[in-house]
Amino acid sequence: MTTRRAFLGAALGASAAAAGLTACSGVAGGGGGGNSTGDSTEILVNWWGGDDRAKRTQQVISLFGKAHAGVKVTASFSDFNSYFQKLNTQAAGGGLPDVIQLGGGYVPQYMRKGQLLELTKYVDDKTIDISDIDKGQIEQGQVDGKLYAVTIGGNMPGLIYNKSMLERAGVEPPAADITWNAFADYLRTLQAKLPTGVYAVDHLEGPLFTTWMRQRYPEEYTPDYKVAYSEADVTEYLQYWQELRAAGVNITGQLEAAEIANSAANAAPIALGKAVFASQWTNYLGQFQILMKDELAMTRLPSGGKQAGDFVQASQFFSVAATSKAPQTAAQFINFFIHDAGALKILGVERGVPASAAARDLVTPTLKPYDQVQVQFMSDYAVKARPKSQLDPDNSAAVGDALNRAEQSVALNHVSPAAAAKKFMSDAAKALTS
Amino acid sequence: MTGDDVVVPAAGASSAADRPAAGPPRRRPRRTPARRTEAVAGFVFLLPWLIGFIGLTLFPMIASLYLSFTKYDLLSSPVWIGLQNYIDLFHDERYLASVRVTLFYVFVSVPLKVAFALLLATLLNRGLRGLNVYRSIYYLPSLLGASVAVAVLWRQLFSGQGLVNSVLRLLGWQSPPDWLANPHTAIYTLILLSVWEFGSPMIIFLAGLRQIPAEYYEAARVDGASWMQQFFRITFPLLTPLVFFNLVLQVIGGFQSFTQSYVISGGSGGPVDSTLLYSLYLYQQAFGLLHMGYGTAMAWVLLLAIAIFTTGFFLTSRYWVFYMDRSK
Repeated sequence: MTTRRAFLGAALGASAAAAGLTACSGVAGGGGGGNSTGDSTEILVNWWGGDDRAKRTQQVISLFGKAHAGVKVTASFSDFNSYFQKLNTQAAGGGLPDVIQLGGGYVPQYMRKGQLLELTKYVDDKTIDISDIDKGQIEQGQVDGKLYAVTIGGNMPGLIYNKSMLERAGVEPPAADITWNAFADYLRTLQAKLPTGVYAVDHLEGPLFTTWMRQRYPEEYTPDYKVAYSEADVTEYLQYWQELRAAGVNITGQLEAAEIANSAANAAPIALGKAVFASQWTNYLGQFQILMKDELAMTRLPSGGKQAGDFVQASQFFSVAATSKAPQTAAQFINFFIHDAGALKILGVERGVPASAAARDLVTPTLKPYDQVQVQFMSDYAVKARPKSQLDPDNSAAVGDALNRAEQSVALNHVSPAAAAKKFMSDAAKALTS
Repeated sequence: MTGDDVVVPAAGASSAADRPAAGPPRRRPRRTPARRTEAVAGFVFLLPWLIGFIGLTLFPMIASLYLSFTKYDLLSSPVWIGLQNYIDLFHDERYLASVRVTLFYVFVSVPLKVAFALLLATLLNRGLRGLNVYRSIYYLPSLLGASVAVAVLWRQLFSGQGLVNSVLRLLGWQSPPDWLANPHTAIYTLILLSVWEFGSPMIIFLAGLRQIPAEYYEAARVDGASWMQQFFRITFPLLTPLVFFNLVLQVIGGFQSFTQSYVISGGSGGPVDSTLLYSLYLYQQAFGLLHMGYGTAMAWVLLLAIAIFTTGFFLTSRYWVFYMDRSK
């Protein structure tokens, strides 16, 4: 009898352990890190990114430390996939880092939910000098005219391609104003001349889908934050890429799934020499190039619809946590990051092209040739791009996830583009209302 | 009383007679002041645990129960919405997908893992030279199993260009699938990882095997019983309490698996939600999308499901679990 009883006790204990999970999700826990010290000259800087970015940022941090005696800067970074989940947890616990790198679809909701310090005061007293920063990128860090996030580099959607591979195949790069239909034909022709195991194109959704839809609609989202496009548009989009995939021109669904799961430059088919073209943000050019022997180049995404769909965006921002105990030091750090000559030269264009003309002029001559390609691309096409007229809605990142799922269900599970589009529309609507 | 018993139930062979120490509590008459001092001392010793239990388990659980009836995004105050979260759950296709994935994962991986643990425990219980070394080696994966490092290693092993595929190519399979990027195979890599962590049930089985009296086997051998007969007529029946115990523990653990699928799928549960385990979807909702109320509702449904499965196990146990002490 005792044996059974003891067992019951043990099992109940295990159930209680199961309940621990409930506990974990229930209370806004400590959220690790954070600026818990009372010392107002100690700041924590947080970002996502790879090794190269970490190295450059650490160097800038030590440079800042030398220029500001008595200030202690601690760094913390992770990969993109886990960065915002960790940040959300820290926000809940009131333990956000002092200086926070923000970007993607996450900026608007952080600005709107009162987590960030309004920076107008520091702009007014010139702690942060934004007088020479491109106006369009400043506006992307503002809500109702109040500044919450300062751009630390701009990028654009584009088409990165392996120039050496094109030369080996004896194919000219596409014309800059090529249409989507002509581009599909171009890719098919190219594919016939490629070695086996190499695909003509890798289409990564993020910048591509937004550009595609903005060519057809004023913005990706309506002013009241619904999706602007229709189910038929999404079907057409999925269809276009699925046909190329069926023809063996677009990378396989498995390669794409591996790329998404790893979220690192070294998992990208173009960096692995398995794809010739890749839709990406401009600042990935350098991130891919340092991993490769072949030479990369860049051109504009094909055109379609009624108008230009590409746009210059602040690829990353720095913000100060509303709870920061050292806002002055944090603001100084941000200003140092975007204005100090030494810092700018270390940072180069790894996070994107600097948003002030003076900084661009300073940095460009010091850049590697492939980084100069990025700067050249931006200066060629920024004028032709069409700036975004509004901020993205909260949870637009969840719409991106839903698109990835739709795309993969077509590629890997033989779901028809129409059915996947239907599901995507309902997922997107749900993400935007909650 | 349960309090002074060992946590791991003894195998059936350990009848009450074998364990004089675990008898009923002694009821020696005592003077009141001494008993009171003893009680106070007891509570003082209990205090660290008690504070932890109330502060870190009981209070958060009550708070999470409340939050599961609210819409709460962590950053602003919770808003009471009654049962809405629970209703929404059953209209959420991804939620239902995660339930399917998790049930499949648990009901394939747990029996395999327990069977494998039993097999190895039986093999290791034969007085091999250097037994302790083997035991330690086999237990190692369990120590490492839940860690991020092993999941990262797994991702490398099973990726398209990973070691597993290199070996398969050497063996003549020209184009093996990318195991992790294929929605039909990805979940099996997680199951394999779980089965590989068979160490702790194995240790429990080994302890149980040690307690089966050798006379039973001697008697069986005299009667000409084969190795198989000995296993199914003596070893297995006497180990059923431990099989039961391991199954219950592993099912409870299985439902809560998180780290492996988080690391291997890069937090997405992909490809196409094929590795979207329950806890991972809970985490995505709660910490990715800041649907905290929804996430806590999911956690409570999970708790309920685990309770139901555990109860189910207990109800069926009387038909197949053999307790030596009861049979007397």
